[in-house]
Amino acid sequence: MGTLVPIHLVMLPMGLGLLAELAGWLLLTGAAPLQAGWYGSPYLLLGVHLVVIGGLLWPVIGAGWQLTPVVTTRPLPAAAHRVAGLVGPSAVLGAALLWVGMAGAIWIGALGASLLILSLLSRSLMVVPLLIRSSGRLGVRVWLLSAELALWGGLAYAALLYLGRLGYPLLGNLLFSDPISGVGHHVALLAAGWVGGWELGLASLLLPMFALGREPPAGPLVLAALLWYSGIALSLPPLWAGGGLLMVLLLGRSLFGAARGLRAAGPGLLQAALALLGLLGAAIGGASGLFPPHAVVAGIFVLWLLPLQHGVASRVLPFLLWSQLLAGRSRVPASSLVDSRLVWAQAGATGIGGLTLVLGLVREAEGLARMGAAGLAAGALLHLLSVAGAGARTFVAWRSAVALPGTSSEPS
Amino acid sequence: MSIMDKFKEFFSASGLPESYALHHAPGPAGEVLAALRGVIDPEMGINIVSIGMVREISVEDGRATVVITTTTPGCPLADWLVEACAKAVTETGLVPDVHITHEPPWSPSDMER
Repeated sequence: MGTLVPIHLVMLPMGLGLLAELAGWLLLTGAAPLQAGWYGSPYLLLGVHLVVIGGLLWPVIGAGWQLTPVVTTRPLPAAAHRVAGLVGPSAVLGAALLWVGMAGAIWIGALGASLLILSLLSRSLMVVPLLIRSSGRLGVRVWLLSAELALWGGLAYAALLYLGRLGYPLLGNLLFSDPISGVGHHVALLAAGWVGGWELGLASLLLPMFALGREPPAGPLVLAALLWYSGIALSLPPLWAGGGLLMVLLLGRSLFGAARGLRAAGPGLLQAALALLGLLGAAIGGASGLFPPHAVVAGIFVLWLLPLQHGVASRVLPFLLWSQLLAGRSRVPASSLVDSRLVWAQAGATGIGGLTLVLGLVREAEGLARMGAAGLAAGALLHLLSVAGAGARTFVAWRSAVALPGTSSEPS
Repeated sequence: MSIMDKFKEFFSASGLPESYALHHAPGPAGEVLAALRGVIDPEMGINIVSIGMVREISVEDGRATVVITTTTPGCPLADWLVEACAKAVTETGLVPDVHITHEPPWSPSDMER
């Protein structure tokens, strides 16, 4: 039994996530006042959550089901398949209701938030024992396990914030000095802690794999995780910036020492590698205190997390489509399933849009920030077209292979 | 060693590969190796011999034992690679026996140049 999981477990959250991300950027381009403050505008809250849940959270769920068995080198157990089959749709429904709540119907949102939190916790309770029980890849597992701890903390803050929105602040009054500090913890734990931890942990596996390089050694990976999560837990930006810098060095070493140059590895990998510079910039910006906190948070999302996720997805999704539908059936290579021009265009639009948005927030220039959001919307659309194109090419190749039995990818 | 040298060493590619005997194997093992060059890693678009994934070939009594590795343990394509290698061996007229090992793990220095 191999480590491949049914493709719908990966594609459902990732595909729907792309649509949500696009909707979020369009909302932020056209409707939401970007300078209104984190807690003030329902449209800003909705736009940000469409982007973050669709563009980052769902892809972590989808990719996590496929990549956990790769990390642990063991097939996903049958129970995890069942949980995964339930978590995907319930997380999608929960998020959809949460978005409705953010647009105004806050009690429907409460139902959605509860469903989303339960889905994420169920997923976490299934994934954590798998990571603990396996051996090998200690550094990656420490990153992923720490990320899951951050998820629990981040969800607790999310629940308290939503209860506060409903008029029941409960513990929120004791834990937060003000709503902004609660939002800060929520963002730090879920974005840098959970999504960031999964992205960095998996990047240390995937980037060397695609570039034909060596995985970073476990000891420095564990040290980087220790610095990163201590910084988040203690609210000490220089500490997590140190962890981020160490990760950038480790991943840079793997990439520059790889047998395959970054250029040869394609635009997706180059975009992911450049996103590490975004991480570095956001870490330095956060640790130095030179930039407004909301610009640093935006930088974390649009210069690091999103481009890394887009870049890696541009490589992983065609490969998974090929593995699931064409392996042993067709001579079409996995690399031909994705149109590299679209990936280049997506990487350019996402990069330029992200830089423009952050610059607009730093300079408090609403128009510039909106232009950045429009660039990011274009990036999301191009990413969607690229993934949809890969799906369509796979389908055509699969139909041809089924219609012409005897063609195969193995040598004749 | 200066700090600059250490820095360069840290970022340099790992050691150059020694041309190993397998790549010049004569006779039936050489035929199997040639057949395995037809197995293309679908993600990389490179044949698995050039990537350095073939670790051992031995032929005895019409049976070819092939030991391969993958560039990463837990590779989702491991099962497909075993099947593709077995098919390639079969086409040389030998009975295939293909195994996967991760000891030692694959490294960039295993690649053919």
